[in-house]
Amino acid sequence: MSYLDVEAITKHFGATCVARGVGFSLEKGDIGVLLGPSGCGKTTLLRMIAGFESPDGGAIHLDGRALWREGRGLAAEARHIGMVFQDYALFPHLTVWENIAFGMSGVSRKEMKATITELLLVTGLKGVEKRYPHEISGGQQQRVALARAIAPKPRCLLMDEPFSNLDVTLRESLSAEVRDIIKRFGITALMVTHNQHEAFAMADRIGVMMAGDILQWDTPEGLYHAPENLDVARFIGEGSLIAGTLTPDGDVDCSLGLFTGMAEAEPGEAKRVHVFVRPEAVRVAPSHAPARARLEASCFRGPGRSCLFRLPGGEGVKVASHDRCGLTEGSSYGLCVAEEGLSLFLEAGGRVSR
Amino acid sequence: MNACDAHGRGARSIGLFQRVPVSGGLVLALGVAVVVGLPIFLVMTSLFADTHGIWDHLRENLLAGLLANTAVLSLGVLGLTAFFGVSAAYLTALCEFPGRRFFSWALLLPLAIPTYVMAFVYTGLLDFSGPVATFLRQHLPAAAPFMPPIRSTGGVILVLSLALYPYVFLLSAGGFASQGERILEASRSLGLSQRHLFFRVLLPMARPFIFGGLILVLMETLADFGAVAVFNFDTFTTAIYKAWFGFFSIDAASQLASLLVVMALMVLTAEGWSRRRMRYFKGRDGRSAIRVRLTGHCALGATLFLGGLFAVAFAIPMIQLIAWVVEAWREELHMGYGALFSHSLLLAGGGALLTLMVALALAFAGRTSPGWLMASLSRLSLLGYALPGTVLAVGMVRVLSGFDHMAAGFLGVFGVALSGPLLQGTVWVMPVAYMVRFLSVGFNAISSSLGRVSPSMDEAARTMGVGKWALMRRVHLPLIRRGMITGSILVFIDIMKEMPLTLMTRPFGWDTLAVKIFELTSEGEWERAAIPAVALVAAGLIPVVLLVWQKEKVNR
Repeated sequence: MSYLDVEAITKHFGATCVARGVGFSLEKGDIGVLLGPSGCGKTTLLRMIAGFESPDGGAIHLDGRALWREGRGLAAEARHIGMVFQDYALFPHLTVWENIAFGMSGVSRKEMKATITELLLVTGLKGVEKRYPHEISGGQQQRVALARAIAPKPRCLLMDEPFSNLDVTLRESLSAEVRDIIKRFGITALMVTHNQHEAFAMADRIGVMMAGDILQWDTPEGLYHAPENLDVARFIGEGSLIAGTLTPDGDVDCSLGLFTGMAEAEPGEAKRVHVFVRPEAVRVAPSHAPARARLEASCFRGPGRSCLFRLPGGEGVKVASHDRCGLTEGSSYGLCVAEEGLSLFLEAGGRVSR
Repeated sequence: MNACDAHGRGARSIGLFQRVPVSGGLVLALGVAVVVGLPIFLVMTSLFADTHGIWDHLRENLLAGLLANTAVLSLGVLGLTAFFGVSAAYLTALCEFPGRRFFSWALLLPLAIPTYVMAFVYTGLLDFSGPVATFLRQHLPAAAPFMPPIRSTGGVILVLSLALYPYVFLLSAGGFASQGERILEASRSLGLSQRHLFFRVLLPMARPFIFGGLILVLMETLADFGAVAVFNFDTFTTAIYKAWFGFFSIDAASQLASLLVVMALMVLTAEGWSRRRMRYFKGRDGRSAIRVRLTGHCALGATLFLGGLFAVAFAIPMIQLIAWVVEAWREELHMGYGALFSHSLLLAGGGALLTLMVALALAFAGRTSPGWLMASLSRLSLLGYALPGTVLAVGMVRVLSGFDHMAAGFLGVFGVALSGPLLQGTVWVMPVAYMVRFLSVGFNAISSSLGRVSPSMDEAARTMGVGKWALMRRVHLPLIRRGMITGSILVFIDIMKEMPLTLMTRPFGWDTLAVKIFELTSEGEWERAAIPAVALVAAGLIPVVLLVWQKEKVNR
């Protein structure tokens, strides 16, 4: 059994189903992220782990103890789980120091002082401990919320969209900082977000959640390079979908060219498949390339150029070009595709394994 | 609990309170709703009761007159308060002229003067034997016959309007101020002149706020007892009082009261509607409009108009009151004011304390067990503020006499005879009556500050292992302390000023400041009534000052 174990959780709110048999597990010290569009049930799942909602079915175990099993569970205040809320929920009548000390009970005064001092130092809050929440910046409030959740030494830390109230530039730097802090204290953490950049910056494991189900629970790399189905591929990063045919020999024929040995040979008829191409797997090549396409639009992105090509068949291909030399909109160019950047999906959405 | 024990000692089950839909909070709210609802219910049932001819007598001789008086009074007061309130609000919120800042808060001060004090000051001042009429007869005999009598329909309307216009002023000033600069600029760019701007944009957008203020005025007018009693102007409230203390007919009083309840509930419905409308009209952009600078005659006119309003609604009554106090000071002081003061303070203190506790309980119950049932129970519990004190007095007496009757019957079974009523006419029920009347005042103060404690704060505390009671002690109470203090001050002062409910439910001889004013003014002893009146106005200034402070803070 893993450290945090969530098994087959189901949950309905009236007629809407927000969790249909969700399960995942997280090892001790890892940071997991539930990633999904709003309304997919990720926050509800987090709140069920925290103990604010009761699942209809399934089980949750933490460190070998049941938090929820057979329709019964521990009250939220008995779970020893820390939580960082979207609005931080800092107590406005308490100073930063008092906020952090709020949940520390059964600790000697000396130990409390040492812990809080260390937390203030690590979170860069030293010097503001006597101020009230409304007297510090949003980023500082966020770190107070984190310090307050960590201070009672919880068995697990939950974070509900912790960066959504911050502006974009702050988000990036803070998410790396928060990851460092969590790792330094060796805390097992689970975060919920709809922002994949935050998810990639924070996570050891990411679960892509849609319509009350986790579609794939994997490392960030696995998720990006080997999406298990079409929905995950489309949700994570960018890419283009091209219609193709999978021959019984395992070759794929599509308007980007013929790719051999893409799947295991399987006798029978040729199958229609979706070929999914990441923009960085396509290169603008000399004219003898297998596929030619007209450049429809291009947009400067700093490190490179993001281009949209139109194939003769009418399908669009997104390409990340790193050439410094300019491309002319309306002209035709050759396109060259790296095979390992392709993923194949059946019509139903499932991945075709190699 | 076996499965739970498996999770370790001290673990509590959250499955438990899911299976029990009825929570303690719900039971508590139900209790409060019964205490509030029962008097109203008993008054309503008498709408169709048979009272042996008294009702016929009332209907033939009284009802048409009462209805006409109420209608004329309401319409007149609404019209005049709308004029005073909206013009003052427009000038102070959207124009700039000498004295604007002063008027923007000073015109709220009349809120501190109870209607009945305003009424007796002006009757004393303008009556035939009053100083103004006497002066005219002595020095300008030719003009004296042209002075309109103050004891007239016009007089009541004017006096009530002077005391009540601040409600319209306060709300519509908020309405005008919340219209952002952007929308005014948009209107100007579409070619609207200043005059068209007022009638086509400003006024329509402030309409829900003006309407909200007028509804408060209407509620106060329907409920008013003291002022109309000074003028001997018969309305439902005075008729209820007379039916009871004149005919000694609680049934006739109840029937009149039930009609008034119907009217009050209609007004209440209108109020809920207007409050919903107000939400859509709240301006969104933060910058308020730049004020139009008035010049020349316009500026002078504005200053003179608002200066006149302030003089008539606050300065003159206050000067007159103080003059009377100075006059009557010596002979009055030894007349047992200590008892009056201590009675007033005791009742207001007890009532405010009880109201605060019930309001706290109700607010927490609403937080811990939300739902439609809870929402409707607390709405019922807060009905009291829409009910005139006379109506509530009749309802309370019906409840108490019913209870005493049952208690006597019950004790009679055991051979115990009661020497008198157990509850009716005792001091102990008065705080309950005040609680029913003013619960919404205390509740609104507390629940608005409790509303600022986000649910995630509760959850944050729980994740840190803090239980329900510790949560209340360590988080909720410190955060709502200010709301509790404000709420109790407001309730305390409302009770001090309250007249009809006190008059009709007090035990014999329990005089308070308000009751004393009623007795003295019904004998025309204005000078002597001035001393308790000044005390009440001084107390009434506290919430007005709080309000002004709050307003200034928002403006900054």
